[in-house]
Amino acid sequence: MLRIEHLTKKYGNKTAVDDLSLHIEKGMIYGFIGHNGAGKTTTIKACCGILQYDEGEIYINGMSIKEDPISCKSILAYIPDNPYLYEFLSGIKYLNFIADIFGVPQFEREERIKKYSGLFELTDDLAQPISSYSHGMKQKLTIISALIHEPKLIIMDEPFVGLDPKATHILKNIMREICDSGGAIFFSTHVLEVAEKLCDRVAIIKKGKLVVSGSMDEVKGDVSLEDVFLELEGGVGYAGSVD
Amino acid sequence: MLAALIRTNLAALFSHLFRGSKLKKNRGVLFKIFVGLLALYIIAVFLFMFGSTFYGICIPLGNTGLQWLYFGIAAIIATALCFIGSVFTAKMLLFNARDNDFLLSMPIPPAYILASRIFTLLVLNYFFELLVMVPAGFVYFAFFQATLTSVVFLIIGFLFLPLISLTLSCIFGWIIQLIEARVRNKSLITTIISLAFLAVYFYLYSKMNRYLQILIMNIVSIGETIKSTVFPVYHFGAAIADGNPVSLFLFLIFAVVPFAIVYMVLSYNFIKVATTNKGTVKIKYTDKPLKVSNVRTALLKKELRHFITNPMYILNAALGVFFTLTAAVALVIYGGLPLSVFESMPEFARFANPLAITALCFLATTNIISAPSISLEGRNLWIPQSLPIDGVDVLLAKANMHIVVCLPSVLIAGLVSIFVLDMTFPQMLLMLILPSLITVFCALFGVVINLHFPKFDWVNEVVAIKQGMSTIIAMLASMASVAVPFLLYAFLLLQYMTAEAFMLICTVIFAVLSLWMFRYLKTKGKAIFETLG
Repeated sequence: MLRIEHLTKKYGNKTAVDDLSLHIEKGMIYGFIGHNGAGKTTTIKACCGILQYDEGEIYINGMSIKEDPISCKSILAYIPDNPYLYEFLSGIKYLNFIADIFGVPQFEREERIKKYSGLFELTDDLAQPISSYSHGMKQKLTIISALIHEPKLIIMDEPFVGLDPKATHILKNIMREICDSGGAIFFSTHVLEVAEKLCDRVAIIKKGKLVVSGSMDEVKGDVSLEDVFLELEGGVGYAGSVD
Repeated sequence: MLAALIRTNLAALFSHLFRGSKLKKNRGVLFKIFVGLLALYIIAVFLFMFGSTFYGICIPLGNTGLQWLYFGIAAIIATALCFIGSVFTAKMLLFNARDNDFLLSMPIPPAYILASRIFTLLVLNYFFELLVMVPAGFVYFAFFQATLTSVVFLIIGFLFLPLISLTLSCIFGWIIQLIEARVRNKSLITTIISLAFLAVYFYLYSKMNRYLQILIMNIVSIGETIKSTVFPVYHFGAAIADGNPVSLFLFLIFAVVPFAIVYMVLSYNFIKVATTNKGTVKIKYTDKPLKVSNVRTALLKKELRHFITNPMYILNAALGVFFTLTAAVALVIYGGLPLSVFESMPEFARFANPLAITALCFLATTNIISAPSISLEGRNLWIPQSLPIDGVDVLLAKANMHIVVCLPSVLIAGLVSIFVLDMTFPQMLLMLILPSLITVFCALFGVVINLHFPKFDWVNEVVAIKQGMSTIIAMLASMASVAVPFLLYAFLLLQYMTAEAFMLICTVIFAVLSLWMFRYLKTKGKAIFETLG
């Protein structure tokens, strides 16, 4: 579903992503982990066609994001790390706008908006301007807008930030449902416990380079994902104990 | 602590223009020079305008022994200018500042936060006051001898006069804030209030000469009325003109006491004002059928929604629409009266209708709606870039918004002109086609120029609308697109061809340029948009 081949992206002299290759297959939840500034967001934005890259290629369902961006974008959905939305629109107008762009028929869009806004308990607030929404509400709206056209691939950058526990639980269930029905999900997160429980495969990136990738069992073995990650990062650097 | 807050506020107020642009360094320097020259030009225009006004009243008032009224009038004009110039900034800085939560979470007394904001407004008021008091002082002391007392009292008066406008700005800003908190359609209310302010300003400005004539004819009685009713004005004038320390003392009391009361009230309520949810009426969503649109219509609707929900966007980028409609109404009321001036110059009568067409063309160039439209995407740029839409559709939606908003007023004014003025058929066609084409030209030009000079680092949309380089270039270039051909014809080509023939050539040129920009947006423009951000 998503194939990243030798992706390299530079900002001036700094190489943000260095020869990165990943393959996310259908039915797979793929976690993308790394420290702040490791190159996760750069990779994700390149996959969504909103950031030009220097070398390599990205294929979505076999189509190049560089050569055929519109076809690629029509089957994917992107959830950014910060839910910046059109604050001058109401929630429902924003969702309807997104549905118009994806050409979702009226009946389907109404059904999906009803379903997901109900699940995320946002229905009553849909007529409110987005400017009045809290961070969590904006995040929920971004998630609903990403689901409105039933994408085959969802690319998410820190999707759980700002969500309440119930919404987090619902999102995890939705992610699993999408993958069970043949979709794929590629997401970055710092919440390693969530990644450990949710992901089929995981990749750890450090300073733009892929450090390790594979199935969750292959990567973590008998220890926790947190232990693996911290070891790869060179330890905690903190003498205290959290236990 | 207070000094740091003041520094931050002043930097935020004055540095938007020069800060954080991703322009290349050399382009940034050129931009600063350009903006600096533009600012100097605007300041010079104001100084000249007020200077000529004071020149007109200085001698008549001086000869009748009413020098105090001269400075009294200067005080009224300065207070009015300061008030109009700062009332909305006062509302934004005092009641809608985005950093209120952040600052209140720090160990800073609320009174300091308020004081820093009010000091920033005071500096802004001094700037406006300078535009009035500098020419007033120069003109006065050119005709009358300057005494040390007068100069010292003028300086003291100058320093304290803005407290009056500041008091009024704070009160009105608070009233506007309270009104907005109680209505659902805040943007409509803000637009109406802003337009009312502008209408009053333009009305008074257009009548200023008449008021000055009335003043000169009735100097003594008007002077007595002001003296007996508007005490601060009298004492301000008397303090400077007569060197009267008692008047100065009374003026200072009139300026300082109301300000101190307003400051204390605001200070007492600052946390409540700054942290209370402004009482937005919650609208509960009710399930109803959703309207389905195609991609281009959806993008256009989104752009229009952005435009109509932002009063600052309307007032700063589409004033031409209001002027054009006002001109159309005036034409219906007064008919061709303004053009009757040509009756005394029959040799120029043939230019009356072409001038009317030119006037409408010029009005069409005063709208710059599309010029900040890409910058306004700001942090939302990820949305159009991540959606499956062609970049050119996004860009054309912005140009189309400009056209949809502006074209109706241009056509209405054109049709009214055709009915009211006695036009030939070619003139009628030109009256409809040329201003419409210029509207399209300005729409496309705004998008093209904004593609090359985007400003995404704004905190408030007003910065992108008012202070982006694309806005300044679009404003000047659009006006020049009519002014340059007009001057070219008036001074060079008038004897070689008729005005109608020249306008036909202009029509072809504008059509070609518009077509070229359309093609540019479809090719290079689209590619540039996809790499923005």
